[in-house]
Amino acid sequence: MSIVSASTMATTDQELAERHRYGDPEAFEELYDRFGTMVYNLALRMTGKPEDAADLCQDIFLKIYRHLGTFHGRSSLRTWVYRVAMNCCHSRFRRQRSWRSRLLVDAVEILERVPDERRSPEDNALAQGTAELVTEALSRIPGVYRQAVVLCDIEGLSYEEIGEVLGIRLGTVRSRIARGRDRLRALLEESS
Amino acid sequence: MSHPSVERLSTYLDERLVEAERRRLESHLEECSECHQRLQGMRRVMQRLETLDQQAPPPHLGLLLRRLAAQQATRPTLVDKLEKGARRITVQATVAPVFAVVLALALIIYLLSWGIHRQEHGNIPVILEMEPMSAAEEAPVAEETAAKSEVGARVGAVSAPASENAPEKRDRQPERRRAGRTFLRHGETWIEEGLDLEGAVDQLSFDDPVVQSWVQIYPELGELQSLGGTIRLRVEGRVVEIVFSPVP
Repeated sequence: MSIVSASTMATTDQELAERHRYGDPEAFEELYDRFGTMVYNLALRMTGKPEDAADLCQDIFLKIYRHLGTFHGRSSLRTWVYRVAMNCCHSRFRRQRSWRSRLLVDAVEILERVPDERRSPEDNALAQGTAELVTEALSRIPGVYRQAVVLCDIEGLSYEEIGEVLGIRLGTVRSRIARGRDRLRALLEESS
Repeated sequence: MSHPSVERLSTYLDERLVEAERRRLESHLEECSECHQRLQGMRRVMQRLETLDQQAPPPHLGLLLRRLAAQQATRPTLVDKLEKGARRITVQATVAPVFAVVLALALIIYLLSWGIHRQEHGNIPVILEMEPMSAAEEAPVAEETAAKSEVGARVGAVSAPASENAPEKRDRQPERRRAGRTFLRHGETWIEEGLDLEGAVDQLSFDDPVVQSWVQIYPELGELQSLGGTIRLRVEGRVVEIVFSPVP
């Protein structure tokens, strides 16, 4: 992204927050249109269940709604949204100690997805099977590793962005990603 | 070269190793099939994660959120409430001095009763924080365990009497019970029955039966166990802390 477009984006982010602060209802709609899919998928990877993801997504957006007025553009709005989302995930993780065990039972439900028409039926089945295994493995690694791996390998954030989102140092980011990946490797090799 | 750490392999996959380190690792990988295999496994994990499909959020979610947002918008904000409250106080201005006097009296009574309570109970042994760590305390522990090389996780801290002034009271209470567990006096500290403090001060692995018994009591320790590492007990004054050291 060029410097010009990055600064334009930052202005737009702040404008959006300003509009929300002054009570423009369309600002929140615009925010949902921009980040709805991203937040939902993040919630889906973190919870492993579509219904839990929808529930978590709702919590995240309500929190965003309440606090968007406090966004002052020190980071990008995208990073800020990720941070709010991860805080919500963390709070939920603390509240529901047993969610990991429930995930193991219900991970198969993630398969209820619309097949991608660009792929052949065989490829779709293969992708679905892979997704099931990966989702289940993700649900079995500790939450702090899952957060780091999801942000890095699925959301494509840099180490620096992950550090900013999770409020941790670069060394910790590197370590959590590495351990998360290694745990996933062991689990996937075990299952295959 | 010894086997590279998981962290180094992962950083290599993200192409964030400096040139010299990268070359050293690559030459090791050419000779070591074990590390090569591990690296390939991690690479496959990354590929699988990258290929996970993006899902569209359920259509009802957007509608629901818009409705909830509209509800939030019609609710009075904190500023509205404060303004309303301020108006009420202005109207009933005579109530304010009376309220202030009542508040001051309540504060004085509370402070006096607290002083009396301290005088009466200051020397009685108390056990603090014997319940599993609360949710509010849990996050910093999870953060710190991964961030630091050694962390004092106050999973179960036991406090002993604050002063030496009541030896006869302590002698009468050689043990205390809480939640079906027995705590014995050990100097200035209460230690759970069956816990050998001398041995436990040293570094212990999670396989140790003493540690396993603590894992059963405190589920948080189980979480730490999954991170890999050792624990030991640290006695500092009147408090015993379970100290977790993750694998470096």
